[in-house]
Amino acid sequence: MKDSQLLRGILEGCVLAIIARGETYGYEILSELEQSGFENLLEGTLYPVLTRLEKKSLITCRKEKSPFGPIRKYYSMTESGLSDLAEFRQVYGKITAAADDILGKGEES
Amino acid sequence: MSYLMYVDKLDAGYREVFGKIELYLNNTYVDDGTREEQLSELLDCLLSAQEAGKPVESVVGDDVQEFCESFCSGYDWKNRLLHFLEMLQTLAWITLVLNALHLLSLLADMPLAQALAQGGSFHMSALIIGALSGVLSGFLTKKLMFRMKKLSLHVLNIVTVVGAAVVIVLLSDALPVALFPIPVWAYLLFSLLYIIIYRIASRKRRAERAQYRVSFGQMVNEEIERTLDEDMRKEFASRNAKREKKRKTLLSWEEYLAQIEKECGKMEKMKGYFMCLPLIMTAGFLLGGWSVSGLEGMFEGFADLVFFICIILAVTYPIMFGLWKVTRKNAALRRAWLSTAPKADLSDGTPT
Repeated sequence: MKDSQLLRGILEGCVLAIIARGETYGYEILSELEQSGFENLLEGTLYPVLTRLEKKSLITCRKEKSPFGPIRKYYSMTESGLSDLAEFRQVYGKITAAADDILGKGEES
Repeated sequence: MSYLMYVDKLDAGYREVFGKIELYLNNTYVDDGTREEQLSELLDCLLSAQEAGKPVESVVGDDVQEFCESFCSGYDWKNRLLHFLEMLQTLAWITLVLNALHLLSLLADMPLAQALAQGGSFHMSALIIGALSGVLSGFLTKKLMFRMKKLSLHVLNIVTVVGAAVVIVLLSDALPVALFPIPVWAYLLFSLLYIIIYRIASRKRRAERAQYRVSFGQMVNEEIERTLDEDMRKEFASRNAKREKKRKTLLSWEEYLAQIEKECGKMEKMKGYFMCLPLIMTAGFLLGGWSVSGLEGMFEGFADLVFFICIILAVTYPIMFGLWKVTRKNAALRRAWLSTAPKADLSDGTPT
């Protein structure tokens, strides 16, 4: 899946959903996204998303030395992040239902 | 920069890619703290992928330039402004020191009020132009590094440093009159004000970074600790190889441990040696100078002699103290290793 406008629109929400499951870090988020089907997603795409979420105070991070040595940032949700995620899920549900309806009708015709 | 300690853990292919990304980031105008955080996080990600047996492309993709541009897309004007202010702080310190030394040299010939009104140190023109050259060099490096793929990163770094040094040295001699005729008091006042305001404004950020800062000594000690067991075994093999060449009896593992214990004791007693060495070096230099031209030929007066001695000791004592700390830490690490070193089990003395 290429890094398209569609991906950019939903990536923030998906990253929030992964972080909401529990404290996690960059590579783990990347692996989870890959396992869910977001192929060829790169750290270069993920990092700006994490930076934006942190600046909006939707996630918070703590720093700790990783088992490999370098400092690793562990991300967790904030209260505003949780409410933002809930809102995203609602909006996403409505949009995908409407899109499925239109795209489904398009295929039939 | 603490992440530097772990770059060696990357395989050759990973390390090459990381080197390119690091060069790109080093020439992108972002504050040091953010850059170090990003490189540390990226390095951790690469090490995780390497551990999982994945290719480097799984993290950075096929196009390193596209990755770098995407990776840096999160920088905003605040990061760039912070970087600019950090660069100005370095310039402010150099300005303060250069003009303070210039003022001291002027005070030898005129009163303070007159000295303060004189033009600033003539190095300022060269310094400002050198700084601009550094900025231009960084800009060109970023533009060229992916177009000229065969260009060695080391060559780029060397050209940048040598180029800036040549500009500063040449202009220092070619421009005896400052291009910017600002009086000494203005340079001193504005640089001092800038440094004070910057340090107050960035206090919180610097405190955050200090939590994760790793000093050079810590880097050296961590590296020693990481490889100590392997190094001590290699040392055992090396000492026995030398003894074999000289047809001496080989050391048993227990004898080797006893030697190390003795050496640790000697290292711990070396403080006096390190503290006396600067005095011996200064005395040696003065004796050498006296024997060649006499002290009157070397110094204009007693004050000059005292000033010279103070400068030499001020430079050499911190170096010797630092070396003493490293030696002491090395001895402590070896003692700690001795307490856990395996005892010989086999009849030929080799450790298990």
